[in-house]
Amino acid sequence: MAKVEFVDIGKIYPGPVEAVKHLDLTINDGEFMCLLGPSGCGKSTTMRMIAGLEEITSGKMYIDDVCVNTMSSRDRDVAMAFENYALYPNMSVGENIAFPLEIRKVDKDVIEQKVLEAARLLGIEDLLHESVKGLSGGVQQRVGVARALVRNPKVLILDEPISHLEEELKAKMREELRKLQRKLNVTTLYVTHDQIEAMVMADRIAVMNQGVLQQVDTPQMIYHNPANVFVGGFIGEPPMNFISCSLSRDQGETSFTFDEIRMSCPEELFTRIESASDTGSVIIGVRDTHIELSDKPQEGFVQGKVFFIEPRSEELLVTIEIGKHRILATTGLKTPVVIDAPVWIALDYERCSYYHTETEQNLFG
Amino acid sequence: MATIRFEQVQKKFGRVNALKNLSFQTEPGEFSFLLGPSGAGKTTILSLIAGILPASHGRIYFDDRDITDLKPRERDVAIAFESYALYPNRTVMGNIRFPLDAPIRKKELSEAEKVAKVHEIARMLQIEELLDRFPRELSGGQRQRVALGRTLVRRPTFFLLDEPIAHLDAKLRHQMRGELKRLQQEMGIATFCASPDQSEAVAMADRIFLLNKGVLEQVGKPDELYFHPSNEFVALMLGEPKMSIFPVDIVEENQQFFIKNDDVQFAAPDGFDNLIKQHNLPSRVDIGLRHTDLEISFSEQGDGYVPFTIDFFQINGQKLIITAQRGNTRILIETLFNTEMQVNYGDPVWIRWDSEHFYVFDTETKQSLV
Repeated sequence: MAKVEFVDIGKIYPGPVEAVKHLDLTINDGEFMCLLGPSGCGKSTTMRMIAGLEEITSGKMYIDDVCVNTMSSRDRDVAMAFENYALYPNMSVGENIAFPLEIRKVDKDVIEQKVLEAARLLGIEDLLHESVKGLSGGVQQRVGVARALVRNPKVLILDEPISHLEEELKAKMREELRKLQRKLNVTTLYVTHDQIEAMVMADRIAVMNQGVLQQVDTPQMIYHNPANVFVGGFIGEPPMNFISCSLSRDQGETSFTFDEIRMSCPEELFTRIESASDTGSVIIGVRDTHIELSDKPQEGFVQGKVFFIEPRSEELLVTIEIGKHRILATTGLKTPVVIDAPVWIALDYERCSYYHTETEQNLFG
Repeated sequence: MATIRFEQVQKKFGRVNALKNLSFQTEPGEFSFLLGPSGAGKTTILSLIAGILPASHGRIYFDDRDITDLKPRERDVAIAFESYALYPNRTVMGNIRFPLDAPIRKKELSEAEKVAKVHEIARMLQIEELLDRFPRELSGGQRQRVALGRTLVRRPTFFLLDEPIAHLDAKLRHQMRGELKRLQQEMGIATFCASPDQSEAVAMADRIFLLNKGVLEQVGKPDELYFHPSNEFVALMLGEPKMSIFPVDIVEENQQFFIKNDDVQFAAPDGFDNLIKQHNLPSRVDIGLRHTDLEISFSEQGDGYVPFTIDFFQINGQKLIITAQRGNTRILIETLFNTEMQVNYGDPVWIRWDSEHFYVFDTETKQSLV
């Protein structure tokens, strides 16, 4: 059990390539943190710096308040399980799990007991004598995790451990891994590019992009209040819609204008945005569920056209063309929408996010 | 407008029987969607249609023409594989226009028409600004769109699409579903599309061809498969979260029917008694419950509600997906989540069965009984 702290950590590869920039991040004791971002965002480098597989260029890293910058990998007590398992193909399941203890010259009896314990946790105690070669992907992954857990590490790192498994097995492994982590209460960093995985598993998510930490928060906060346009567009299925608007005031009437479409805006909101933004414009971020649809014109609604309708079990996901924008809106199964027919929409301004047009950062958060 | 017909088609790889006696026919101009888990034989079917692989047995027809022995280029199909296979030394423009420059089609369009055609497709795929780039300068999602563009640029008899939008980011994926489906309708070209993604199938398909281990489990409109699955495999493939299926005894007390699995006992909704009579259901069946067939409550309720325990939960945006457990009965439920809600492992949740649709299967054969 441990706390991991990054203080102004930077990593520069020869080139030079700045892979990680000024990273400040704390993973709390017993926390399940997901490190989320697209490929090349710096999440793997970050993870490898914790494990000691990558030298730290600048800044300080602490595990339980001890600076580990120069500590060797094996003294850090950080265990990892990878996407490709990296099991020893010529060893049995039991031998693979025992390996980290063998190289530490732990007592035979202790090893046997610990291997059995770890195998039980993952439900593979019947397979200890099997060769790992013939095992399915899901079982191999369990062996990998058991091997990581067998020595009760301070920190557990899981690097895309299930991203290549089939959907059904994935769902099962998500549940298994998360339950296991709660049971053991081990500080865990879970690295993934899959936002759904991060959303459903994490206590907190750290979103990275281009070497920079974008936001650290609970899945709920990240979903409802993305710190910037990148995070909003990366999180959510479907992701957040963005509409770039100019702020216009006409004879006292305040509105957002985009593609020559005017959406009236309450004066109070308008003033707040106007004073927070110095550009006379704003990017509105709106989730698909915060758009109201109507098949008739209504006060305060603007007109678009239905481009596509995707039925889901309890709702419709409607793509609406409005000006040059395409917007995804979720609505009830019984909403009268027809492809190519006009539709009127209104945004729930209370629940929208507002971003600076140039910095793309949240104006209010 | 053309159709594809398989008659008793088999495909073996060594001793592995990848496709077993497959017979089906598509409708003219339809968007046929081949849905199935990986290893089901989807790509094999597309390859047989394209002529990339020979059938081990059986005949394949385009309309009434037997094309089983025709070479790929004699078949007039355009195919986009998941693995892109772009020409590395050609630009995006060069890749997309390639089929238009093929010897047999070279003179069909003027140079200006070809360029216009490529731009039109590239605009739709949102890669117009990438036309001068080379494949190595593109992301996976961009390459996938180029491959798709190369397929869509001409008017073949059939489009064959193998996971055409799998690698795109979420926003683009939804847009491409709409674009592809609309384009297909406008062009009126019969399309066979393969993917393991059920939401994609439901969004795009005129009919779904549900494939499992080389066998077609069911063919029909998305609604048909969703509401009238022919067996448990089909029922589990369609819908998210998945249908919960478990064995129950149908019991009658005081003229009210119940389904019972150990200490879980749900009162049957109106209409279930008719179903029992109409189909002469046995007393032991597998019952399938979709989350939409259940009402849930986080506070104690009488009146048909059964207490369960929250074994696991996931919050995804505004949705809360709970695995509720009681004894050996596990049920997946989904409900709207708001940030004021407090959900914890081990908390109780009350569930009631209330539905107009019933899913009942044979406990042995797993085939639908209704």
